[in-house]
Amino acid sequence: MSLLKVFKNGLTRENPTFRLVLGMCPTLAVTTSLMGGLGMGIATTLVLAGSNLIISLLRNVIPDKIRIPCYIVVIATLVTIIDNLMQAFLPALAEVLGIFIPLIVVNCIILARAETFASKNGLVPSLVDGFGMGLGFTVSLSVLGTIREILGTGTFAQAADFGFAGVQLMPEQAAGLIMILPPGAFITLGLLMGFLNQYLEGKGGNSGGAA
Amino acid sequence: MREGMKLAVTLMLICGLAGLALSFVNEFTSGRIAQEQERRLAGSLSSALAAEDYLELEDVTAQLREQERFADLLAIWETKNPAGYVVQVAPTGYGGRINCLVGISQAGVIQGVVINQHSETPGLGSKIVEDSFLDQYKGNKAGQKLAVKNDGGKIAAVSGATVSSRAVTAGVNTALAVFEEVSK
Amino acid sequence: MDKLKVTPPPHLHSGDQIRFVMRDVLVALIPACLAAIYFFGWRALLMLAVGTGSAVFWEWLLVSKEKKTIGDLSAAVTGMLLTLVLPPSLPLWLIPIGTLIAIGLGKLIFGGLGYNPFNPALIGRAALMASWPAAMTSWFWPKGASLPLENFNALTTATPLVLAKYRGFQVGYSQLFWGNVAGSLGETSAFAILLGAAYLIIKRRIDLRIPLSYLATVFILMAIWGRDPVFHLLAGGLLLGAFFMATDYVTTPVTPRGRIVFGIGCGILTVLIRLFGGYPEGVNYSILLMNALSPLLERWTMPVPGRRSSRA
Repeated sequence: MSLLKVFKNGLTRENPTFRLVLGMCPTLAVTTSLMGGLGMGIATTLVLAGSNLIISLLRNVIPDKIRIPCYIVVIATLVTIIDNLMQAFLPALAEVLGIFIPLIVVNCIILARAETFASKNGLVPSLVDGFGMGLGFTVSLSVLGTIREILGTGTFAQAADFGFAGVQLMPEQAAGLIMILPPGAFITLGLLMGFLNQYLEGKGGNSGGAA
Repeated sequence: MREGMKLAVTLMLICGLAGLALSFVNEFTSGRIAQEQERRLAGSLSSALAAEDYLELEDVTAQLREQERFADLLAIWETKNPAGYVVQVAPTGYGGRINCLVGISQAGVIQGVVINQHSETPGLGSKIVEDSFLDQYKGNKAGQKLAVKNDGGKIAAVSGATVSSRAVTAGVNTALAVFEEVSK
Repeated sequence: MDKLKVTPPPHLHSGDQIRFVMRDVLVALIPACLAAIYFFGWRALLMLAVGTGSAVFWEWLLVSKEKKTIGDLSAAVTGMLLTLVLPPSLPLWLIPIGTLIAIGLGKLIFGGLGYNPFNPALIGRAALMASWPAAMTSWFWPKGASLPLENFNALTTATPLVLAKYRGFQVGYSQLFWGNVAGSLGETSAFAILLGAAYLIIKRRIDLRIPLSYLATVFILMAIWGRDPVFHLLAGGLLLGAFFMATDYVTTPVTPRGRIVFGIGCGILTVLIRLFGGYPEGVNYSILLMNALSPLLERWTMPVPGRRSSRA
């Protein structure tokens, strides 16, 4: 696979959210707004790229039998480091993403990429895979967040913590709270997945993830 | 057996390295994080009640906390110029404790309420941090019990987030009770 | 064996039969509609027209041309039932949204009538309730209704169940029976609901197992808990739910014993929500929760040929 293909893989054919259906917990929990989805996506991308890189480095050192605990240690360490660095040097961002960061440890997309890609591929492809997957995750979460935010609160790209009020697309009374509640996450995700699958089936031949 | 040893040693090494990396990062960042938190607290304090000097009353806090009705109390600061108190309380909301600061003037009038930290539902309960909600508390005097409209009071709850709004209101009530105790 | 395909019940996809059942249900709802118009004014008629019309429109719009299903009248029943459980002051534009959710997400997305696990009208109501809680809980009392209660005028936004739960005041039986109280359009008049239910019973369209076990459970549990059981039968949406929602063919068990368990389950949940829940009324959620259990209840209570007792 060429590097470009590896990169695009995470965006389309093996999109973590809509095709692999991985990392559902953060996907459903934080996509109440575009900014929430975007922030979670970026933080996950950083961890994903880092963990892919380290695990690819260690792939000949880690024995097969204890690979899962090793991966978890690597991922948890990375997440903690990023959390600490953010709190120290980017306090404003840390405040917004604060609750999301610990969630990244339990995001199975990271473990899944470590297991299926980074442990079998070299440094550069693993790093590219991490960024590609992370970008796919970020885009999916942003789309979900945008839809839910518009229908659930009537705003677009609101980020109160950064003092950005966003654009009010429809009056607040018209917004249906259910969209930013858990059922709204399931409904939106299910409908998007259905439409995407129908579209891909219509295109023909391109169905079914490889993982 | 020998293979088992090898596995154990590898895992230990990896954990050791991870620990080393973490302790290094912690060493490097803990000071800054503490500083950052202090700066944030100072910012919250001054938006609850702008004053020149804040003096934390640790003994009083410990004493009051023994009473059950002050279980949510976290800290009290006495302010100078203007004189008054800032009370930090942590009532339980929908998603855990809501850490809020209530600034009360010497005369017992609420000067400001600031939500320092919370984990309420994003987009719903999280709206308790907005001024349109918090400003309702300003100007209320000690000696009364505030309540949200659903419970027959005058505080308009954040729509869809009665539990969170109730929690903040309970926190403010606790703070007012603390003030009455302290200013006696 | 593999030629003999046993599909899970209910088998409700045979042409005109559905149409006749649905027509009878519509007829049975007429008294409740008339009561709604009588107590809440012409706005109720407008709401019912918008609700029924929009439900039929969504069904027509969302089902492909080859298999138009509006003729089976089920969409009209869903739209009318949904409107009957909405507050009379609800902004009109919310009704089509509710029917879209009921018809689209509650029914068609599962494959249409017969495949929906939940009662579509109740799905619509639950979604509206979660989305616009303020609009869905603002009530008003019919003109001329009054209560021997101090500052009644300040309490006109409360239903009898709200008054009972939070103010400890109980509305009288006769007022509840005729329906001269605040509440959803079609739920207030026990008289009108019972009239419609009698029609369905005479026409043998509903099986009494579910409504009777449902009502009996609520009655007994409320009595045990020291509440007035008659009040709790008459107040709120219990009668409408028991006779018109909990008897839905598609979303309730087909087995006789399963139906009794279904009714008892609904009753227990309703009592729990009314007494201990965050809402004053729980009929809607009780029936939805039991809908989810229906397939399981069916499996447990399905008679096995050659055995006297079932697998359970």
